[in-house]
Amino acid sequence: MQASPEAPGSGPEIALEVEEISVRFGGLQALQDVSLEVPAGTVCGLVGPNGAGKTTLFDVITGLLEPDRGRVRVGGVDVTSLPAHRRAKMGLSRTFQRLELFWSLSAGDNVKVGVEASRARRRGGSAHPDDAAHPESTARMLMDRVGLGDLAEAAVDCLTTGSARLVELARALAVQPRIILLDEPGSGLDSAERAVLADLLRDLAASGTAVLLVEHDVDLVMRTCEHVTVLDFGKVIASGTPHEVRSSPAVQAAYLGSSEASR
Amino acid sequence: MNELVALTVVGVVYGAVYAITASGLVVTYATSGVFNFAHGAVGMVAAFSYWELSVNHGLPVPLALAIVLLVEAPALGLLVELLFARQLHAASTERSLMVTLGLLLVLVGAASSIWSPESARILPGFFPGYSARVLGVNLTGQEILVVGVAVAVAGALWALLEHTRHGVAMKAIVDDPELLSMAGASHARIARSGWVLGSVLAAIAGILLAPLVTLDITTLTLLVVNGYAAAVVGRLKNLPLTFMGGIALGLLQSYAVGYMPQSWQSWLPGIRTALPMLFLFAVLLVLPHDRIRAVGQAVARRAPRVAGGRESLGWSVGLAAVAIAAGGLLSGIGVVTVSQGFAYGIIALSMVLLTGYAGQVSLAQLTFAGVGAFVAGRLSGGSTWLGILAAVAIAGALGVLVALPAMRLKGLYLALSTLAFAQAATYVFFDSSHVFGTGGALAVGRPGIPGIDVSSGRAELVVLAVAFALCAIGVLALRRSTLGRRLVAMSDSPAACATLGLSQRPLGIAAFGMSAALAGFGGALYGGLQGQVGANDFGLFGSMTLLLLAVIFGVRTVSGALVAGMAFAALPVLQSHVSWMTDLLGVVTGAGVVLVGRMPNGIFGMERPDRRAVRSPAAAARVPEANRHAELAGDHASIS
Ligand SMILES: Nc1ncnc2c1ncn2[C@@H]1O[C@H](COP(=O)(O)OP(=O)(O)O)[C@@H](O)[C@H]1O
Ligand SMILES: [Mg+2]
Repeated sequence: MQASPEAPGSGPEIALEVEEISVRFGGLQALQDVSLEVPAGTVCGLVGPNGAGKTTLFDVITGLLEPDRGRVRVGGVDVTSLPAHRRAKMGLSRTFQRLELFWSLSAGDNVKVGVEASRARRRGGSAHPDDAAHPESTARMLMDRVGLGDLAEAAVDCLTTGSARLVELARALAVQPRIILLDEPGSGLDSAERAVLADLLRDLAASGTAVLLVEHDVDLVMRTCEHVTVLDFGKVIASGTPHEVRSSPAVQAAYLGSSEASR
Repeated sequence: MNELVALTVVGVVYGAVYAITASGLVVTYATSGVFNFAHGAVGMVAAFSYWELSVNHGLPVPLALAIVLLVEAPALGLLVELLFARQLHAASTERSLMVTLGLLLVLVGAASSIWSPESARILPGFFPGYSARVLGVNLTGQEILVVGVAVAVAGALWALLEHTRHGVAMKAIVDDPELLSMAGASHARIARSGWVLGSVLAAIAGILLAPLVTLDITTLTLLVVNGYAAAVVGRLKNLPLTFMGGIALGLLQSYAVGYMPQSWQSWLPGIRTALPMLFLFAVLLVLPHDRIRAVGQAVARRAPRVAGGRESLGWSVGLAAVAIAAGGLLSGIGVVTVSQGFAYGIIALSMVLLTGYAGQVSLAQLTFAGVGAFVAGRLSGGSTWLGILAAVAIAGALGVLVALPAMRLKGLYLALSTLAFAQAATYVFFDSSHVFGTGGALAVGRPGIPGIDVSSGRAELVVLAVAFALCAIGVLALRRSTLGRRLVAMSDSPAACATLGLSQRPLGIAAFGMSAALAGFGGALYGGLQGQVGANDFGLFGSMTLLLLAVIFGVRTVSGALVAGMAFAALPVLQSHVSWMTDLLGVVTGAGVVLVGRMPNGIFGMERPDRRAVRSPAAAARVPEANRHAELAGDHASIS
């Protein structure tokens, strides 16, 4: 497999573009010349064994980590030198593999912070249909959407890991992102919650959002992703449709084989 | 030319002591992740113990030195490590800060009980009578010794860190604090040796410094600020830079003595004393910017419930009724004490806002209160509401001014910069006769309220109770607002906030400004209650003590703030019944913080019992609760 991804399809605009990103932690090359693209309205997968550099790449894209080399473009605009909150205002949103919830707030208030943040962002800009609604009811609607409708009052440290992840997802959706990065959203979810997640991913793509998904659940990746990039030891070792990637010997050696064997 | 050489030599001597104490701070911080605010207090206790043994009991110098440096100091370091440093390993910066501040108060309180500050003591230098000419400057034996010891300490640290196995392991951690996050037996051992070594270095510095300055508890404890400045030059991990920082500060002070224009001196008499604080402030401001990092959270900390609007109104009415009743029941001193408690309670509310909600630590809240009292007193003697309004506005503006440059700092560094600000403000501003008047007593009046005779103590008690209640209602309303949610969110996860498009700076500045304004309001009311105020009412130790009391009783709740204010007012009154201890307030507070160190929300913020797991209704398969956040278990505390 070649290292550079072909643009899947020619129609949709490229929402997110990562170009030759390299990151070094002391003696460890966590990322080396990683490039990928996520077109609007598609779900793209980013897979690889633990420690491959997926979370590090998310940190670079969202602005929490400065790369040694390479560029990040959001909607064609170079954001490499912008701080994280400015990138978020351009429609970039994410969840965290290690939960970054607001532990002092209720589940509903976690989401509400997101709703209120996006509202401030759009003030003076184009009116959004949701703007008529109260932040409270928008937050509740988002909780419903991830299947946690009646947990708005719950303290987040009382939630199961799966529910806590879904709260993070709802919060990430609250800012109405054009691009959303999901870091292992399925881990800790039970099968019903996983089904909700899969539906949600398809809905998001259908509504024009670009989704970059890090996920160990091969089934979920096969079902939802149009395109998959495989990382191993910080390098892209394969990229293509899920089926192409799955049949690649390099990938089987590095990731899928070992992962399925351990399941 | 000769003068320059002489000033340089003196500067190097003092700088050498700062370098020794700073290297101790760095060794402890870099190996254990805890910045020891009590470092200077450890040096102070060592200097006093050495005096006790060698001067008071006449032990030979080598024996006294051996007992202090080889027994007492290591034991103190070990004790600290055993008592709570280990539990701090995974705790937040905020918690470890509070506990070491508590230790500082305990050590200062214990020392002032043993060695009464009333009587003066003199610790003679080493090699009395000996002097030598260096570069044309007469140096005492003590001064030569100081430089020699600094060189020896630098050499010993170098040899230890480069050439012994244990030392190399320590150095690995000093160089790469990420390693610290990985738990392990060997790291516990390294942290322990870091505490012992740091404690011994603090003791050496204390014993060397006391003869050069004075054997005084507060002076020696606060001289460590110079060490903080030097350590921050080395970014709390680089020992050579730390040594250079110490020398640079010594030189700066010495040159200021020689070359600062006389006109500055007469205009701002405290400017020289405040130099180390200004130096620390300046160094903090040029530090490289820390990026926000996603760290995950090892321990979920749940906030206490926030009272609703109607509920807080109900409590307030109750509080006013209690105040009216108490006014009738209490004696004169009781009325004054409770009134003071309400005024301090308002200042403690400013800490609820800043520390409890926004998660930032300020050691300058009484400074802002002092500014409030000063403004109110200067404007028509404090007897108009306009004066109170101006006090609030100017204290708030000053808070914003301090926060503007300091806000890119977080946690520990922000706390250090407020400490520098508080001390500098005391020396340059409060101690100046232009501010609180000659003799340090500025008259502050009480604004009138139509239909109430505010000159009566009982009426003032009710006025203050109502003022506290209104402030509490305001703070709770803020907490329930969008801004309040954002402050809490930013404190819980700066990374998540950034990815939602919220930027840290304006939020932090807003929190700082509002909190300073509230403290200014409390200060103005306190001034009106007292009738006159001076620099002593608004010192750094006071800020620390009130903050720690707030932490003990619950810095995330308004009831915690009220009780903290009451305790701050009442403990000095109880002091007269306790003769064997001279600093009841400090010792009780310090010990209290150490004891409630495990209780993240303080006594009034204790968790409600209903900790059952809430599961998603869609959950078909049950996830055992033990698995909750299991992947977070191996998570690490963040440093800085
Ligand atoms: N802040 C850091 N400092 C040093 N090494 C790090 C840091 N963050 C991640 N790493 C290392 O970088 C590699 C990639 O990590 P990560 O991006 O989390 O992988 P993944 O998400 O694919 O499991 C790992 O070997 C990890 O240990
Ligand atoms: Mg990861």
